Amino acid sequence: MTDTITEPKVVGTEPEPLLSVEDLHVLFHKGNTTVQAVAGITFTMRRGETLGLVGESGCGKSTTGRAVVQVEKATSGKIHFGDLELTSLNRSELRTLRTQVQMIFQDPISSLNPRRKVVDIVAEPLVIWKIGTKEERRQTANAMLDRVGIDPYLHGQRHPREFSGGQCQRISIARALAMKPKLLVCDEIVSALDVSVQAQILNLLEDLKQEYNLTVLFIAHDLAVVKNVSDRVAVMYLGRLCEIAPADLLYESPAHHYTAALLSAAVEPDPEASRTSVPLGGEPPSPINPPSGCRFRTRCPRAEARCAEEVPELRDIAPGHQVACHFPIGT
Amino acid sequence: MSTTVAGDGAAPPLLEVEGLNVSFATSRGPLHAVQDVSLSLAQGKTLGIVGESGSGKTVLSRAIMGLLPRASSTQTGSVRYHGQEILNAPNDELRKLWSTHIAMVFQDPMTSLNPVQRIGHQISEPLKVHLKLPRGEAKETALSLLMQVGIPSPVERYENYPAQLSGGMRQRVMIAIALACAPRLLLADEPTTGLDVTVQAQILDLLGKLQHDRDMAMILVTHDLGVVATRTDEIIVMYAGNVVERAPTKVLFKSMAMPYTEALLNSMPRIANPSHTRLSAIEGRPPDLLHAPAGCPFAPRCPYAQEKCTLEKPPLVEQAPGHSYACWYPLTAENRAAAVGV
Amino acid sequence: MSSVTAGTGRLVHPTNEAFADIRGEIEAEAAAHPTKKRLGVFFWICVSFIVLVAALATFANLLPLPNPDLGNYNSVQNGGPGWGHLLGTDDLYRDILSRLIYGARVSLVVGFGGALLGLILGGIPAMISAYRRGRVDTALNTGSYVLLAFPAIVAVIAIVSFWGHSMFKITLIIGVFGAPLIFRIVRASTLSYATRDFVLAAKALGASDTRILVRELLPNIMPTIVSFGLIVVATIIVLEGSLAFLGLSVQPPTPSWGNMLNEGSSLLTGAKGQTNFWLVIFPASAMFLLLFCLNVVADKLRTYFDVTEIKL
Repeated sequence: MTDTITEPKVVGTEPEPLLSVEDLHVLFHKGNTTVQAVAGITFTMRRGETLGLVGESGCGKSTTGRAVVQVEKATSGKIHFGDLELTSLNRSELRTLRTQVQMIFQDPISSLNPRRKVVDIVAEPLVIWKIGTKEERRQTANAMLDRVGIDPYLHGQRHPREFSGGQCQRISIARALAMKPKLLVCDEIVSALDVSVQAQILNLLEDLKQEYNLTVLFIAHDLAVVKNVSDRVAVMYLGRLCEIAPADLLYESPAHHYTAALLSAAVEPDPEASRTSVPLGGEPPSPINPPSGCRFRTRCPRAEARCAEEVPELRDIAPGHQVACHFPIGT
Repeated sequence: MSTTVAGDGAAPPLLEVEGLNVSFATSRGPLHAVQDVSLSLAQGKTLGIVGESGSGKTVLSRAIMGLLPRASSTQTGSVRYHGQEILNAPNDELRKLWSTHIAMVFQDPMTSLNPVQRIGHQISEPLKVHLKLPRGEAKETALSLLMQVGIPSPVERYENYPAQLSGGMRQRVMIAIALACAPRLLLADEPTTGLDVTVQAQILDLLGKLQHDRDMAMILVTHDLGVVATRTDEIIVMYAGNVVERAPTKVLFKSMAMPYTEALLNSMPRIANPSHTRLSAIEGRPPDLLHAPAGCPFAPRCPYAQEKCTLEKPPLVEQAPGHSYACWYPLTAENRAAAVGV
Repeated sequence: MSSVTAGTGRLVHPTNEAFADIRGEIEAEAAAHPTKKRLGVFFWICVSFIVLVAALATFANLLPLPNPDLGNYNSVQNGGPGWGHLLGTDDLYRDILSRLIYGARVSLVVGFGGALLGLILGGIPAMISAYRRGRVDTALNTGSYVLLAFPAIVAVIAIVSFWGHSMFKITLIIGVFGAPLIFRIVRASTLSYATRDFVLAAKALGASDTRILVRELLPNIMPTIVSFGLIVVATIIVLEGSLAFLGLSVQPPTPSWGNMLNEGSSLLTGAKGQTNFWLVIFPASAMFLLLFCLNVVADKLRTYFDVTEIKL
């Protein structure tokens, strides 16, 4: 259909993964109740790779992203970033981490300080970390704005309210990349944008990934968007990982029943498209009181007694393809 | 009300809109949100209205329903329900139609439901007010409605407040309220935006099933072409307040004529495409409705635009049976990118 | 990344042309949202009045005014406005105009001083409390509710009559009792910004808490603080007037608008049955005008800074 396919970069040239998350748990306490937002997640990311994290609301994907960036405290588990182990850092060490890990948020408007000029917003990280002289910072900020498609000389002195949602998201990207971070966490960055603007931002992100050799954790609920952007995709349900696989493989032959349900429910703009299986019934259980064993078992067509007793662990069923299910599709 | 036979042109269409114009008085001048829109809908059929934000689709659906504030909006043209003119009709006339003949499902159930009223009460209210059912019967009907929309343990849920339900369930409650008095026409304004994809599938299936069971006509307003692809009979594409293309669904996707429709389809990432497929994004942004430029509103962003496009606005003309579009240089088989189904 | 300039000082980037359309759109967008809102002539008139009063009060020593505390027995007692005494004299042969100008000092010092003290005592903890949340915030918040339930005026009167009513003490007491209300307003205002993503983004960029409070939050709540602060000033000026009426403000012979009103009202009807209106009308008008101008300025500032949000 469309012309060019960007050549996937050669990823994983370094032996060690850049990010390694081990058995991450994040619990929230609200009065007497405890919400298990993230209940034991393990995954790794190599330098230069884009990992898509997909799931429905309440699955804990945003919380995972925030835990990686350390704006949310992990209750237990380990997060290895390069040489550092993030959960054991003290406050000042954590601050220095900020230069290497950045995050972009969903709401483009609330992500920018309405009282500041756009060029100041982009230069802010450089000011905080005292990088360069005032003149150099201004030049870097201007260059970043230009790179994301906003003319710094015409529009740099404006305030965020004079820009549209898509443009604000570009400014957020410029700000995040000003420090040339190694890891970028994108939390639903295009969900609030129109389809045509979404495409612009996704293309921009693709270009910037190549240019800055970024490692990206892309969190979203839209399956098509995630597939477009990612090298590998991880599917989450109610705080746990269901499946991780290379993007094309996951969408073509999902092994977990939840992945299959998600794919069958997705809407494609094709009137001839027919659904391959019955859509998922019922409601997701409450994260306060999740089902024992496999959390998906209450809605799974293949559930058996074992699923209630034993928590399925992520295991390899093919090279690069991991699934957490006792009876994956095809068995 | 005369009873109409479902379907074809033998009976008058259930809903007819002709030359509808809606403009709002703003401090910076009149804003033409909807410009010269015409459509018709037969009994039992589904019409999809597709457009991005600012295209005027929500204003259009509200204008059809008669919900726009009279004080700040100017509405001209004609909206006929079963032959009866309802545009600018006084509120007490509209009240006879609301809920019993025409009902609306809104986008955000959290703000569309009264947070301090139990949902059972909100569902039975139209039954008591419009159908004059006594309390016991109203409650029974409400419970049966809750079951029809697929809410488990309806007796328990009847006493719940909206905040105690999930997003998907709230939307089902909204649908139950809308369908309480068995309307003939349902307007669904972005009914699944913001909901999870599995919930979206459930809600859309539910709407389809209810529509079929009750022989109801439905207008589905959305920005998502995927939602309308398999669930509508006819689609209207809106841009900057104008209808730019209208066609039966299959025809639209197979042989679209408007560059905008094509661009919109091309800019959507597809599950069917391999990962890292370059999206062909539409450059620029929709025009400012306050200062609409002369000529075709899409011309500044159109890859096929020529000089005539910036000077004269193309009219919406029916070029093939059921297929109308407003373009001086519509797509031909040669230059049309195969935008559907790889 | 290229930073080649092409003589015009503009950055030339290979994909710049692709963004040509966006440039045009931003222009259109900016034109549609004019950044300058007009404050209006009336606003500036009111500001000038406030500045005038402040200037007169500050430089009263330099003006050719008769002594406000001591009477000049050459003048008439309770004389009406006339040459030599533009606004008349009072019971003790003192010049009203002079007393009015010196009296402004009390109103302004107590008003602005009390408001400032309240802002420091209430506003700063409020900002920190709203930003940090947690137990401290809950405690302070509940505390402010409790303090607000207390009738502040009664407390002020009680403490002033017990402790003493010099200008300094009154300012202090009023400032302290004004703090809980200011706490609540500043906290609410800060909360509405502290939950936004740009604060989180600043944290993620590595900004320290102090930096976030000062550089991110404070500029956003400043309009609220300024306009609400001016209202607080106006309220305190009235409060001082009430205290004076009870004899609890600065002692004579020091003039204040409040005690001028107090004295004047009891001497309103003269011995010969005439109405000595000048004793009352001038301090009352002065107070009224100052309060009115403060309110207008506060209101106009609030509207001016009411930023409309961007549309998606």
